[in-house]
Amino acid sequence: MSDKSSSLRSEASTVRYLGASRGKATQHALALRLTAAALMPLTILFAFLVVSLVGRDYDSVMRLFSQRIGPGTIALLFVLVGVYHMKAGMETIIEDYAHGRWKIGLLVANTMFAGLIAAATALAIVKLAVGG
Amino acid sequence: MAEANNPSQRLQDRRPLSPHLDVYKMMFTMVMSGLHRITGMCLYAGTLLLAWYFIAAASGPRAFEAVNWVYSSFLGRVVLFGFTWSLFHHLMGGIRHAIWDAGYMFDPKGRELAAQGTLIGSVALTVIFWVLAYAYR
Repeated sequence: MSDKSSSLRSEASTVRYLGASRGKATQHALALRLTAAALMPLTILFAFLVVSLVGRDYDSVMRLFSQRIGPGTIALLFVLVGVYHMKAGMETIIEDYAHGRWKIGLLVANTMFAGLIAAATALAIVKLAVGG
Repeated sequence: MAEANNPSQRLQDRRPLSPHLDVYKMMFTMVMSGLHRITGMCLYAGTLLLAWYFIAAASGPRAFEAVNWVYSSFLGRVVLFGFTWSLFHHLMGGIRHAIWDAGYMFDPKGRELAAQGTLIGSVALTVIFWVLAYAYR
């Protein structure tokens, strides 16, 4: 606690940015909720895509995803928004359970995993759509 | 609590911890809360399955045949069934959280109803989607 007689700093300023997410909490909470809202319709469409892809042969899958606007668009949007949501969600989990060096290391690993998955999957979907 | 009388320890180690899971009686709403996080983590791991599928499809017929064989197998379908259930359960949990964010269903009856709805809704949606997928094949 700050002693008012010996410091000009406000009490809020002595605790601000000391929380688990280092002052990013509001932005983080909003980002999770906005991506969640976007994912509500996307998840339904994507789940439909998953069940309809099971057992489908190569030529049929190629035809499906070669459309410029179609199932690939749903998959692409789901992956991009979903990966952002899952990265933010995992940050909350890490901040809950991991501390110190573990926290920093896991947060970095989480960001790298999310970036890698999003980039690789999005590239593959775009490649199918443009007929690479 | 020993946090005050040992200043040599680092601040992080001296932080008081609130009692956690082991002091509470297991309740349905609590299980649903845990399941929301667990299904979220399953979906996190599930993105690897998704990435594998699309990368294989974009790589060519041989890579695709391999992934398609795995996902079409009995075990593969069981995993995909679990994946879609996780999707729906996390979706329903998200809706429940949105309702709470808006300030509703905090009372004992409301939160119990929301928890039941989450589970019933996720199982029903999963079964309906898979039945539809098999019916229109």
